[in-house]
Amino acid sequence: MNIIKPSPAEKEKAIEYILAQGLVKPKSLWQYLEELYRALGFRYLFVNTVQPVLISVALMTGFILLYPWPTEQYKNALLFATAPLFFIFAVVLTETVERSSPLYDLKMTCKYTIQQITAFRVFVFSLLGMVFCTLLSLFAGISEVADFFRAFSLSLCALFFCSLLSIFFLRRFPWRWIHLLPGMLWLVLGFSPLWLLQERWELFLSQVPVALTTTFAAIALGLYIKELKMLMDISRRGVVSYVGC
Amino acid sequence: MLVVNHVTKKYGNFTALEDITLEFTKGVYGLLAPNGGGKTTLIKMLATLLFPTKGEILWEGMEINKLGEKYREVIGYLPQNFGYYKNQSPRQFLHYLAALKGIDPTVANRKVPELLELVSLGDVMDKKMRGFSGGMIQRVGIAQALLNDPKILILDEPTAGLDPKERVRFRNLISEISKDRIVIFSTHIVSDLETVANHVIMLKDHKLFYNDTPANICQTLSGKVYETWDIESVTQPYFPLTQRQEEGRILVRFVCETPCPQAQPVTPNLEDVFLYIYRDEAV
Repeated sequence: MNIIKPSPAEKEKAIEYILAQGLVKPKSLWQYLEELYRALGFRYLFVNTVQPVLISVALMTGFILLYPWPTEQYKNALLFATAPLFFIFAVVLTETVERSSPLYDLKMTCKYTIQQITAFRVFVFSLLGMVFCTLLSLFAGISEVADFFRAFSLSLCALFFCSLLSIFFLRRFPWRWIHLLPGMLWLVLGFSPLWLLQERWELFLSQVPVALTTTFAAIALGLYIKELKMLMDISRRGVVSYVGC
Repeated sequence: MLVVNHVTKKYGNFTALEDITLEFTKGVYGLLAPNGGGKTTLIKMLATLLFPTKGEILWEGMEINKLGEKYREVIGYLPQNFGYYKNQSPRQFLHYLAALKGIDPTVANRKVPELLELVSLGDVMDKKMRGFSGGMIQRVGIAQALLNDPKILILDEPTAGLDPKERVRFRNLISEISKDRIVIFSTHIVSDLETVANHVIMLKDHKLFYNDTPANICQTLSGKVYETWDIESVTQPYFPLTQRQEEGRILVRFVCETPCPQAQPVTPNLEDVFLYIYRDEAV
């Protein structure tokens, strides 16, 4: 029987390959985020200095508009609807710039791809969004501790749900302007109950148990983190969809 | 070694590339095809921007898409339409891309000025790229592609839009940086290949037509290329390649498949082969 035996070099290569496959553990989300932070820091989250300035101006404008709180009777409903607005604005702005950038192809061939940078950027924005939610809840003029926690968890619920929506759409759909959809969807989902149900919606939100809103926020956060990890792991479909083929 | 193994790429019903098999070792490879001939598709597959419909691309025996960032770490890529941020200086731009390539900032601090000097942009490295010429931008593109000291340098139509002087400068640069790495560049400008490419890959009808040295490819037309001042006297069927006017007369260069005693046989060049092979296609 004629058996073609591999050369020593081929054997060596095969052993190296098996060892490499066996010993390398897939990176966790935190490892990815830490690595990206070390490589890019916050400096390269934005293409230029105009972007963070625009976001800061939008944030300050938001605060000026919301403080003093315009409608005392719709505190919870307004808080729920407006909590993710900073996040939405930041994601829409940075993604629009990224997706219309002439460097799109080139960046996809770098070590850290656009998907990974997007995931890192969205994560940072959601952290900043949490700060924004905390400030909104603090400045909402709520005196009762329980009411404050309800308002805070409601705003986090809205933020994480919106973050989940954003990552879900960014990961799954290859369309060029898909990043606009979660924001538009939130404007409908977040504001229409307030507009349609008005006091009944505020009454409902003000009576929801804090445990329930906290649980919803935690579930949304968990799902969001899971989606974030999936966006970080470059898949064949992911890269294709990003090149627009 | 980079291996393209029976690769086919389809966009719906349209076949952009069919059953392409290639092997790349160290050297300069010129990818030659008319516009729309599949060059950019092949280049984008090598750069992991597109995936084969059939077949596989292997780097050191492993599928490049499975290698992921490990493969992207060894490639340098210059796209056909190289984008840049006009308000950035070459130094800022290269530092930004160095960060995306995962290059340590201390290494980048040393490497960026070095590369900008290599591409003769040392004196303008802190000027905004807004006022740069096409050639200068292309040199920034080459510098960014070299940032990670790539083992595979992929350049898509790097000489498009460059003036003759810039093209010569580019060729010299490619020769300089081609030691110890694979350089693959696509073009439809034949003269770019003749001077720098060790291997020429020609695609025709979306299939691999030739993969050989320029000399061997030119040999395929050996004894078939002629020149004459009196083309009217040629009675055999012929394919005209070029014509040149001198002192009121026209010197015609042509391909004739049968011996042509009425004309002077000449040594074929790569442009002759290109014009003859792609005679039915819009070049």
